[in-house]
Amino acid sequence: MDKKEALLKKLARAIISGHKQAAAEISEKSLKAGIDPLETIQRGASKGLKALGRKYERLEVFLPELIKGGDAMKACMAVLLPHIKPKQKHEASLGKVVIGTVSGDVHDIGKNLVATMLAISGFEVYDLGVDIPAKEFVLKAEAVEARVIALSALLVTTAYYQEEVINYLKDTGLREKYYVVIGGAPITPEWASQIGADGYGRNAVEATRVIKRLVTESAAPPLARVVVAGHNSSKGG
Amino acid sequence: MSVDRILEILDKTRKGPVCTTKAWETEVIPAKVSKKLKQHRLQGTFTPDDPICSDDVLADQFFNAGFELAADIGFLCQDTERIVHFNRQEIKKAITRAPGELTFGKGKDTVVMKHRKPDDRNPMLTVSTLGQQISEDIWVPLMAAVIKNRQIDMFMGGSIVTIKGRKALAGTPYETLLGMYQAQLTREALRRAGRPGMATWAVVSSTTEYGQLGGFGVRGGFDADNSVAICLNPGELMTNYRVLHKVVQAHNCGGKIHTGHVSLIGGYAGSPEGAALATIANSLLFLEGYQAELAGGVVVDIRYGGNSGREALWANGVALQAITQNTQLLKSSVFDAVAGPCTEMYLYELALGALNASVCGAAWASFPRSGGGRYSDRLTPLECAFCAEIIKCAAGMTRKQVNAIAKAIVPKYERMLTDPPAGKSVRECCDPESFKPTGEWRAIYLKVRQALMELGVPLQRPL
Repeated sequence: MDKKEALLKKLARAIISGHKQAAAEISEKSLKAGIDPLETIQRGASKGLKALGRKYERLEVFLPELIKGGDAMKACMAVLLPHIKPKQKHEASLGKVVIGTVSGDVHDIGKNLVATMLAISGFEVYDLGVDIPAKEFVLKAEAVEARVIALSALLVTTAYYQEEVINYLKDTGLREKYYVVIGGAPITPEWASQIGADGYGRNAVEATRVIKRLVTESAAPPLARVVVAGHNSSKGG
Repeated sequence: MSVDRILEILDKTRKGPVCTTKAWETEVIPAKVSKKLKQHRLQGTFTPDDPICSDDVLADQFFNAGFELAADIGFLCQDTERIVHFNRQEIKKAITRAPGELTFGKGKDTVVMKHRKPDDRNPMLTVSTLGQQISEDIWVPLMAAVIKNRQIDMFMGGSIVTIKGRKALAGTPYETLLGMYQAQLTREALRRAGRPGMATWAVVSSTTEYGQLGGFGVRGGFDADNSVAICLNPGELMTNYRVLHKVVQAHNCGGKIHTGHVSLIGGYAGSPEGAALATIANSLLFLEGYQAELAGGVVVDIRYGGNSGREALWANGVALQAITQNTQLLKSSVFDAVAGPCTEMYLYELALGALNASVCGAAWASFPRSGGGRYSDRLTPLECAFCAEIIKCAAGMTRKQVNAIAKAIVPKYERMLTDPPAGKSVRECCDPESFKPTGEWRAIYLKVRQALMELGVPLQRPL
């Protein structure tokens, strides 16, 4: 096996085992070895994350390992992204997503899972945490030039704050800049449609699929129909 | 309740060792759970072919490991990011202090909750309806229709998310008002059902502490002498000041406390064995942390958000047995179904939840949750009655018998767990006035009931 293949394999292993520092160091080495950073991401890091995702589906690893793998991926991207040619950037990263659990809600496990799945799929994820006011989502999205705002809520009385974020975007004239995707235990496509969200994910896998579809195939936001995994749902009220 | 003890616990949330939430979830919990599983040789003990465990020795091993884990790990306060530790003596004392028998309700609605052991011959108590979201316009008549059934012993109303048509945003004065409003609606539902003395769990719609502060133990609100305060944790082995507000408020007005949490298979504690261990530690720790009377907590599978698959049935059963055969605690169970009313899958999921809880020694169970709690108005009196009749008739059944039933039932629905049938809302499968089931829903019920009887569930006569 040549040096390049060995490095890419090593990087994949570092991601699978969630070693942040190792992932960053191997990424540095790959740059020094003259390997195209895009290739390092696609054939090294992403490969590792995909393998990790498959292990999670089979319950061979669990949420902590998945989160650590996502963190290792972030460390790798932090090293490699600045070296990617501007026209290749869309191949290296699918875009930036600001994610968090809305006001009044301190549940984080579902949001953590979606954030990790998004990182695994090649998004740059900015996780704001839990109990986040509407304005903070928008300020962060503006600051990092995100394309997507993802809002989690575990309870119906906190799901109302998903609507508040959309209203805040409308009231500040920013609604056209961001896809808004919602999810959480009590969330349905009907609720997404009612509040004017662009996408709905029933679980982490579906949320990731929907966000990918939004940034790669959809018209500019806001969309007339809510994108859900498999099909679209008409917006109402 | 000792004010001094509560103060000591609150002090621990400010002075305990520092740990970030992320480190707690991704480092501390997985490492400590995994270490304890290894020490007690509990890894790989999950038996997919036998979803209901009947191994007393294994249950004892789980209890010992769970007790050690509780003393070793403590719990995290989310607000201060500090760990609250209790030593073995403190946890033992909390177990001894907690009651093994409690009387609930008033007058004709009085019931006695008693500790139960695995394969116990006494029936457990039934608490319905487990906070399923119900629209305001049908809340009172629907709840009344559920609790007219005398096999339902205590009342935990559905969640209300509006107040006189307005959105009850969490953490706002709307929620504070909602606490009182729900108490008023509850009294009306109990009156209509002819069960004014029934004990209640409250405040179901209190997302933050405000609903509880507005409606529990205050004049015109839930009567603290006849209500149990619901104090549910925000995450695995974790609390926060919102929940501690509820705890202090309940103690202030002399109410009883029910602690609850969710341990996730696939989550921070990992495997079915890890989730079982974490839920045991959770149950023991928060008896002391909240000075609680009732130990709740349930294992849910992160892959589908319910607990009717074989991994979750096993983990819940083992954790229940571990606690009920080693303590005198009044342990609860919850049936989290992912299918919805008017489907066979929903009834099979609930039936197994009820049978598992009964034979593993739960003292009481709250039910039903449909669709993983996703949909509004997906609750009918029929499945509430169905769960209650199964619970009552299951007293005296054994874990081995229920395991044989589970082996026949789980394959009927397990492939649909990640994409379950949503079923129908109460408006679609029941009469809008009486809430009696439509012919379709009743036929499904009779079919499932017959299948269960053929498998050995000793049901008496159709409802």
